[in-house]
Amino acid sequence: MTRPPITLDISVQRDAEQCCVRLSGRLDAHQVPAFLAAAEPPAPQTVLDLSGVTFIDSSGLAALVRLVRAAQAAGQHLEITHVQDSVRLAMEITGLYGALPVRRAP
Amino acid sequence: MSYPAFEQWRDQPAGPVSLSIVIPAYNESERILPTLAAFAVAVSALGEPWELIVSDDGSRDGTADLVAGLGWANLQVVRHANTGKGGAVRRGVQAARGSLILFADADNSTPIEELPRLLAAVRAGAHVAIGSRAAEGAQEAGKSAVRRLVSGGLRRVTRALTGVSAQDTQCGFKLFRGEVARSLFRRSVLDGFSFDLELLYLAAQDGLRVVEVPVSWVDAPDSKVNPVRDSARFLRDALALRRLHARGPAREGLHLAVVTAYPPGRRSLNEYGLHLSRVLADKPEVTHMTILADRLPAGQEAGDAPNVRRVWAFNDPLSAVKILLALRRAQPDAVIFNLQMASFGDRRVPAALGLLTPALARAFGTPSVTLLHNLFETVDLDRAGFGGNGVKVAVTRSFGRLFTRALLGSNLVATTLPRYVNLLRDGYGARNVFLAPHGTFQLPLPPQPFPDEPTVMTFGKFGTYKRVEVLIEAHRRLLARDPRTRLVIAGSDTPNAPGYLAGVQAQYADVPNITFTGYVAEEDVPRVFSDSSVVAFPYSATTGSSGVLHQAGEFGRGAVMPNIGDLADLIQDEGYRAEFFTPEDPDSLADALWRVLSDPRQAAALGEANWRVASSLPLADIADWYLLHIEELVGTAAASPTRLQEAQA
Repeated sequence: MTRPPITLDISVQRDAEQCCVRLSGRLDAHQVPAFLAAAEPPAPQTVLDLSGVTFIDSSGLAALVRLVRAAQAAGQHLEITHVQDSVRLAMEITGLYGALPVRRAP
Repeated sequence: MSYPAFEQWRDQPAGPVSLSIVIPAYNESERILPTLAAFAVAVSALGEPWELIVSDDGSRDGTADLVAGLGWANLQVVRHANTGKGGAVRRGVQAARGSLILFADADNSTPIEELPRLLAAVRAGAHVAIGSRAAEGAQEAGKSAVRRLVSGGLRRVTRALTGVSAQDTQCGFKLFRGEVARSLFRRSVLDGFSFDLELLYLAAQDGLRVVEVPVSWVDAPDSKVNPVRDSARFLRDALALRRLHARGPAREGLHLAVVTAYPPGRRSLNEYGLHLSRVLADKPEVTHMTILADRLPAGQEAGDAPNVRRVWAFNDPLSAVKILLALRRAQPDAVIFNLQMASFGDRRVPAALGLLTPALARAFGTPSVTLLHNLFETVDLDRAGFGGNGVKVAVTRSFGRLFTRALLGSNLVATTLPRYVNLLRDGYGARNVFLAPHGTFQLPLPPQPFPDEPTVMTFGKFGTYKRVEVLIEAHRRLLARDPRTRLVIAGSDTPNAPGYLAGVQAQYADVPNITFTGYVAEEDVPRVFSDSSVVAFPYSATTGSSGVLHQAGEFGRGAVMPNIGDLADLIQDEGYRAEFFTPEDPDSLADALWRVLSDPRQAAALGEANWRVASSLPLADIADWYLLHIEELVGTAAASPTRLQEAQA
């Protein structure tokens, strides 16, 4: 285990058609506002890359649900990728793993 | 890949385990699952047999069932009625089988990835490794200067008091050798907030090796840290602990003297002196209290208690000599001076000579502590009534510095605001200054309901920097909005401005619904506050921590004030709440008052917030701060920290 960051790095690449949000760090209640500000509004094609996320808390999970529902309502495509084991398990035991559009590891 | 390791841990019960992790939980159903997920994956990846114990503390939100429902083979739920965090951790430890035991918070506030650093410390020989948010290398966001200042002072006192040398005793991430945890928890009795401190206290008594490991740490989003209030609670618990576990009898027989203006006299700080001596006299360590008070007309002195000696007088240049003689006669172990710059007079010579007394007392062999309620640097001399022409003010200022230095000749100087401590440390290089917040005189009763008529009350001694003209102008404007509005001006002239209120009363005779109460006797104070909807602070400057704001809190009333000086500090550091207005602007003051008067919910919210702050910081607790410092001063601190130091050497 390496020492985890206690903040969240967010990088966004966005054009008219696509939006890719890369997250690294801890997606918790403190970081949700910045995360939502970066990810909203969803583009026709949105990718949330969680490859660097070490911990997600309930607020972080709720933010993911909110983005997914907004995309569904707008008829847009959103995908969550590179989910780490601890984040995957958090989704599983909260019953969200099947409900969220998570790209399964190959 | 750690997921397969997790799956194996989830499905196959371990035999003996090398590590038990205890998570205390109270109503954590919304937060705990992601934490369990993080723990399960990260710890399984370490490749050692381990178990996870969630110790439910009587949650009402189904936390225990939710966690038990996971059905993991090496996860155990311990259920019990609510006792507090310490009790929950104790029950978890009692159920734990591991040769090492960690307890950690349900919100993963110290990330579980920090565990290996603690494991390494224990495997290198520590009996206990505690996560520390204060040790070098710790990452923590947003720690204010005030917090650092307060916790710095606390650390020194805690160490003297309990022998615990850890910088951060409260971090919820601690790893113990299993037998050590079981032994400590067998003897610990605290179930609440300070159970951590008790464990460290017992560990220090046992001479165990306790190592602090810097960890990163994230504040729970809903946790509001209030440096002064948290410190007060902590110190109270530290003292309670020492009384609880002390091997010998607690120190007794302390004889204290307090030099103060004292009721029924009406000089400034008289009430503070009364209450401070009262709460100190109630402490088990204090067996005798002598009050060296100001002289009053003979009839008024008749009702004094036998331990009140009226020895000095306002504007008497010989006050210092008289106090020193009284101290020689009384022979107290230490003396506390309850002072502001003008306590001994409003004429410069007697005022100044009086301020030499604490240093002289020390020189003559009585350890002296000066509680200094204001500093020259923060007093607007003109407005506080020391004004004159520019030269005179400049002279007064340089004498002010001189006499501040003289006061710093006390063994210790206490100030009520963190900013003052900094001012004395930075401006004078003083090292003998500590923080002792103002505190609330009485542990407050639940607030009385608000009066039917909208009532603005202002309380104090008026005529210099507290003037009521702007408030009366604002009252005129409020009458236009609601003709039932009442204004109560409670208090008298300051000694520096005799006749002021009578002049105002004549000048504004045409404005209706104004009551001038005159001096408010101690027993009438509760009624004056309870009969108000809001307390106004029509100040153009401040001179120290506001006693009136603390009283507003005590009686559950909101405040309307300018956001200046020491008032602003109280909002910032102690958590009081207020509506603000621009000083000297009646329109702005009327608007701010109206925001409270027109909205009962706002009045109730401000009042309740202030009541909570007042309830959390009673003067009786602050008295412990003095006792700690005084015991250190007179060399009677009970528990010795030397054993721990030897163990660490």
